[in-house]
Amino acid sequence: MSSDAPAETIVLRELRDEDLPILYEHQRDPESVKMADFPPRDLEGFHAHWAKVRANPVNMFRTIELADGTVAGTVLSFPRDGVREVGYWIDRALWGRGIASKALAAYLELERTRPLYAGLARHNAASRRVLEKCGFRFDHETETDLILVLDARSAGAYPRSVMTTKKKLWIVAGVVGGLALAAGIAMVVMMGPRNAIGMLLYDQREEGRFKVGDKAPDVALVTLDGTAVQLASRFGARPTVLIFGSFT
Amino acid sequence: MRDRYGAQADFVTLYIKEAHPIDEWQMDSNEKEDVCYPQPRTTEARLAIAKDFSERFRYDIPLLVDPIENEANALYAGWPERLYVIENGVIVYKGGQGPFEFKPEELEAWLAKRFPGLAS
Repeated sequence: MSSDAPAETIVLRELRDEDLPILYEHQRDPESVKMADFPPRDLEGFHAHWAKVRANPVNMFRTIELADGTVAGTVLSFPRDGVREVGYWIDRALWGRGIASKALAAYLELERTRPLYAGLARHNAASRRVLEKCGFRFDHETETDLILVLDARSAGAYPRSVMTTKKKLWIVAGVVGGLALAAGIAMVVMMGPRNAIGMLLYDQREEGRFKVGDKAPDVALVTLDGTAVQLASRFGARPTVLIFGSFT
Repeated sequence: MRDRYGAQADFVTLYIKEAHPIDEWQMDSNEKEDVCYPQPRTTEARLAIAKDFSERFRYDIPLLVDPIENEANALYAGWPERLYVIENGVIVYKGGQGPFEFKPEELEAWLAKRFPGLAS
C-alpha cells in the first residue's frame, strides 16, 4: 500500500491480462513489501492467485491507470471472515502523488458495501492516512495489523476470530481474575476477615492417603497420664470408632 | 451414639494438633468460650491441653494423644476433625474432612447399618 499528496487524474478500469506482468513487478518491490508487510509471490504463485481472484465473481477488482496509460496499481475488495475488505497496491515509483487516495475514493463509489474493512501493517502510517482521508476509522488491532472500517455504525462488527491471541488471553485472564477476586471478597464477607486470613494461612486439611479397605496404620500415642500406647492395641474384632480432634 | 453402640463398638478419641490456637487461626467463638491456647510445641504441652479438655467436659470416651511429631495426624489426615471406623485392623469407614464434612450422623447411619438390630 502507498501514500500520496497532490491528486492526479486516474481511471479505474477492468483488469486485463497484460496488466499482470506489471502488477507482478509491483508486488516484488522490496520497499513496498516492507511497507505492506506482505510477502511477494513468485511468478507461479502470483498467477495462480490472480486466476483464483478473477474466477470468483464475489471479488471486485480494478486496475488503476494514469492519464498517460501507466498502470499504477490495483484496488480490490473481497469477502473475508464474514465481512468485506478492501485493499490496494500502488507502484512504489508513483508514491506521493495522491494516486492511492484518488483511486480508493473512486473505488468506493463502485464498492458500496458498508461496513467495509481494511487491514494494514501497524507501521504503515501513510496507508492509514489514505484510508482515513476516505472516511475509514480505526476499528481494532490484530496481532500484526490495524483494522480500519468505513461506516461509523459498523464498529465492532469485524469478526472477533481475528482478534489478537494476546488480547484474548488478557480478556480471559481478566474474567478469571475478576471471578477469583469476587469469590475472595465473598469469602471474606461470609467468614469474616480474621477467619478468612486464618484459613488462607493455616488450613491444613488433606484427604490422606489411606482409604476404606486399607490396613489401618499403627502409630505410637500417649494416654493422658503420659503412658505410651500403640493405636493398634485398640483394634480388635469389634469396630473401633476413631474420633480425631482437638480442644480448639 | 456411644450410648447406643458402645456395647458393639469401641470409641477412641485421638487428640491431635490444635485447630484454632491463639497463635495461628484463632476463632472468635473460642475467645468467647475462653478456649485460648497456643499451638503446643511439646507433647507435654499438648497433654496439658488435652487434660483441660477432658476435665472441662467430663469427657469419658477414652482419649489418646498424638505426640508432638504428629504422626497419627499425618497418617490419618485427621486435622481438624475426622471420623474413622477400624474393624479387624482394616479401615471400614472414613469420614470427610472437618469441619464441613465432619458428619457424626453419617457415622451413626453406618453403625446402624452395621448393627441393624440397634437402629431404632
